Amino acid sequence: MSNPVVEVRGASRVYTEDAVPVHALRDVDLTVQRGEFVSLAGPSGSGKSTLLNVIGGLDRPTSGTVSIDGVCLNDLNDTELADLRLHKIGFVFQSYNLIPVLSARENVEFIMQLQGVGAAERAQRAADILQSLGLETMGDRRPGELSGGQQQRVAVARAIVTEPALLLADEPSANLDSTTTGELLDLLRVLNETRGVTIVAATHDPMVMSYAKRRITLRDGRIENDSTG
Amino acid sequence: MDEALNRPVASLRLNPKFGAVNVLLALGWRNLWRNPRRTWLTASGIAFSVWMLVFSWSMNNGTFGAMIDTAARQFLGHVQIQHPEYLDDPAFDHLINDVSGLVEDASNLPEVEGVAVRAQSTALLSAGERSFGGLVIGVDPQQEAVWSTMPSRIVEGRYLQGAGDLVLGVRLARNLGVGIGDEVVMLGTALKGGVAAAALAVVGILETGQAEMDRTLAQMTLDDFRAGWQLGADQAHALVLLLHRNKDTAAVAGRPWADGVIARPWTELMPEMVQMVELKRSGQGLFFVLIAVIVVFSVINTFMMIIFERTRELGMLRALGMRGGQLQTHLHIEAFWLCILGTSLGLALTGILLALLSVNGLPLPESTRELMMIYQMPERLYPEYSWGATWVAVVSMLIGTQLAVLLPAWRVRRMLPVEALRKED
Repeated sequence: MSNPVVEVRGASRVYTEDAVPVHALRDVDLTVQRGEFVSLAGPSGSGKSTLLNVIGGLDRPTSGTVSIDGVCLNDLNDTELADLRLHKIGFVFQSYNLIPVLSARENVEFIMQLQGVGAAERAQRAADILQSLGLETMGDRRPGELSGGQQQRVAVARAIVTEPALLLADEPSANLDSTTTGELLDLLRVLNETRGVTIVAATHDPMVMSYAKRRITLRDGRIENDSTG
Repeated sequence: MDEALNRPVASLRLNPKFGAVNVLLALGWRNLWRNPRRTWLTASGIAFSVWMLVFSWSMNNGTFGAMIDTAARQFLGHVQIQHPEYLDDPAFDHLINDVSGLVEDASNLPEVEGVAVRAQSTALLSAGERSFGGLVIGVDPQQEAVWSTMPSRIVEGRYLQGAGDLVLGVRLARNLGVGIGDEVVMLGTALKGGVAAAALAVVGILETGQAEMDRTLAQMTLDDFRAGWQLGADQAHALVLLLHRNKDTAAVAGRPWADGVIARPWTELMPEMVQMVELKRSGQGLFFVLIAVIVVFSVINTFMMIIFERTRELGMLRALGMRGGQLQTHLHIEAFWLCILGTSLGLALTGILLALLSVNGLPLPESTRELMMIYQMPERLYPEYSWGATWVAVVSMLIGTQLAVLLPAWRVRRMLPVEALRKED
């Protein structure tokens, strides 16, 4: 039964740099079903980050439509887009992007606080997720006191603690060594397989691609290859 | 998971966001300390503004209070009971009657420290071949001795003690060429056009430090004055009231008094002092506004730097789902903490300084003594804390810092998350 979380139809994104139009995306069609683990690969400038940004509501397509969980993003204003990101999308960034003045636990609780989740429930959910990711002893440390791998795990914890419909990861292994990358990917796989988290990851890293069940390759703003298995 | 998936976006917008306030407060405070030097510098600017206004206003309060008190104690009092037309038209027949009843009435007021009955007239003073115009005042020496500083201004001889005594201002005595023991004849106009005359012996010469008074003042006992100027035993021109506290002036002046008299507060008796105070305070206010504007620009600069340094982080907050308004609030809260820090610092410094000065006073240099006498200022200045200036300083700094953040916050609000996230650290 079709249960798409992401639906992109005829999406194009044209930037203007020095008065020259740059076609970052060209008429892209993409459907991601609930529970899929998708990698977006391709050389630099192929459009994978742009596609990820368009799916995540961080950027708007010049033409075409994008729907997340049945909601058409084209119809939303900036505030509604922010609310959609807050409640339906989790982000994992290349540079972790944790809030440096908050502890690991506070970073994990941050989005729940924006959502208005009660203090007791927030604390419990943050403790549970940190424990499940092996970070129970790191809760009071600030990002600067954590290793890169630990920071990325905190970022994943922050992204999934609110149980979003979609987890978007932009080069999640770019700043990690191979051992830590393996640990992160094992974690993402577990989340995908046991919790049914839908994951879309833009990456250069063959290791990340190998963990994804569906691999999409982009070139010159178009989907060049889309394979499963 | 299913709950999140099935929740429509429209209803999500209605969720309460109160939980965000706590984290925004914490974020704002902690963010201040990411660059402590810049925070302390900006807070110091705010502290300086607060200190400048509250300290100088409090010192001026003390100075003005001392000047008013000095002037009141020397001669004018805080309140004078007069004939309703006497202030604008000091004609000799604009008298108050039933003075003893008014004295009793005033003496029973708890705010009143002392009362003095006075009658006065212009007269021609002559000694030998010399004649000069002067202001002759009849006073009760016992009443004056209680609170007036005039007896202490005697530089030669003694103050009035009884009938036949005359005290002259130092310049008037010099002009007349008289000294202690010499007789001075005074001629003036008594009630109903009659001739007023008195011949008294000089018992003392006083120096007030005010040229006009030293050149014209002549004091005699009230009984001698009434005899010479043909006043009734219960008539005078003014009942002068000295109050324990200047702040009670309006209340005492505003209370009902007997028919046929009016109570004049010192603000009406010394309009030039009111103008001087207002002029000084206008200058102070203008200076504070200038300093506040500089502080506002300094806060603008600080927050422009903050958003420049944290563009990527702010973009990340937007990406995570923080609304533009929340991001703007986030900066306003940071500015609020900065203001609280700066005003607290400024008020603490001001409090310590004022506490020290309220004990020891601020001594004025010897070289300014003559000026101090002219302006009736004491040798040491003591502050009088101004809650009004505190209120103005704190509120204006709060408003100023919040206005200063508007421009940076507006830029943050318009920030596209995708562009902000692209910015290199």
